[in-house]
Amino acid sequence: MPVAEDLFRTFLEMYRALPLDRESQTEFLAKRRAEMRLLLDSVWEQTLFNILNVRPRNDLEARRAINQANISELPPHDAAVLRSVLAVLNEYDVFVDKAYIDYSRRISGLVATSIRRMCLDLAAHPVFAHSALAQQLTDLLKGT
Amino acid sequence: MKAERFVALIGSQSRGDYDARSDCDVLVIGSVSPKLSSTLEKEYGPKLTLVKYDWKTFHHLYKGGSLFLYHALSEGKLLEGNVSSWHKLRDRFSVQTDFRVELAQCLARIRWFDHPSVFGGHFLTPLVFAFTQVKNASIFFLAHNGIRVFNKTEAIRTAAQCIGFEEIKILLCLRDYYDYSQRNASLVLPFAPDDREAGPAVLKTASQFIRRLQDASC
Repeated sequence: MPVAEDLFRTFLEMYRALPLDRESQTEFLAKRRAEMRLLLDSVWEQTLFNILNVRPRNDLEARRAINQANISELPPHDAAVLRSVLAVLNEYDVFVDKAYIDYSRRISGLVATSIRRMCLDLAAHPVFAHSALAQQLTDLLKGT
Repeated sequence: MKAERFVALIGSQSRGDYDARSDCDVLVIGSVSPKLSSTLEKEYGPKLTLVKYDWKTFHHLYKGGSLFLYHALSEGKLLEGNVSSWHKLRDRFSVQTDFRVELAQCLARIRWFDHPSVFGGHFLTPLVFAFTQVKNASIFFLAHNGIRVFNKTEAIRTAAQCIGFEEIKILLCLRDYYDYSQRNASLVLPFAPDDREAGPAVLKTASQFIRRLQDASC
């Protein structure tokens, strides 16, 4: 299991609460940057241990571990999860920057692209084939 | 003023209360000269953190009475820039005094600590996050009560004493996880980050502490 099934609740809640219009969405995400970092940190902590059996200390070590792993030799669903986690980590400056700069527009873009992709790849993992939470998240993100 | 730039040493290095694990934080308003940048890199290497603002962002924070700017202006040691203009900025600055919104935000950010199953038995990253929120909530709580303390450990200890929170040691142990993760410190952690009993218990304590700080500020 790449992550705890309960982690889907957190992303479900966030995507359900995400306003549709761009301005409200940016405002919403500006207030949630720290909380999103907590959840995304937990995703890399859990996936890297559960798939690669490594315990990175921080996001930089997590990126290094994925880059050094032989992903093509992993089962396809694990490889997909790690690739999408890496895509999120590649944009991590918006979550770790200490300056009080408004990154909400960039975060808004990530929520619609790489974070969404990562959630879909996690929910599509075969261990969640019978998970109602994974199905709800997939349906929500695919707009069905 | 807009054509000027300021570079100031801030945080523990400027206060003089740094230790072996401390970072070197430098506030940059505008830009930093290549010469100073190179000197700082040589002196502090990976411990160097530049907090950069353009003038627009700086003015926004200045106008809002940011507590972070208060601490930078009052404790910072100017490395580049006009001293008299810096002092003018400091003297005309008015810091905000009501931090209830900030405290409520700290509490909202840690709401998943009450549902530790989302972390799948791996608690390093939530413990690191807990330290940041406990530290921030302590600083905001104290500032709300007119006490401005920016040393992390001192702020946590003082805030806990103010509200009679007894589990100070548990709160302070969070710093080890932060330094282990964010500063690559070599140290023996109080408990393994995968400990399924200790991890959730410490997160719960952090959550209770921040809730108590918020209640005491209402």
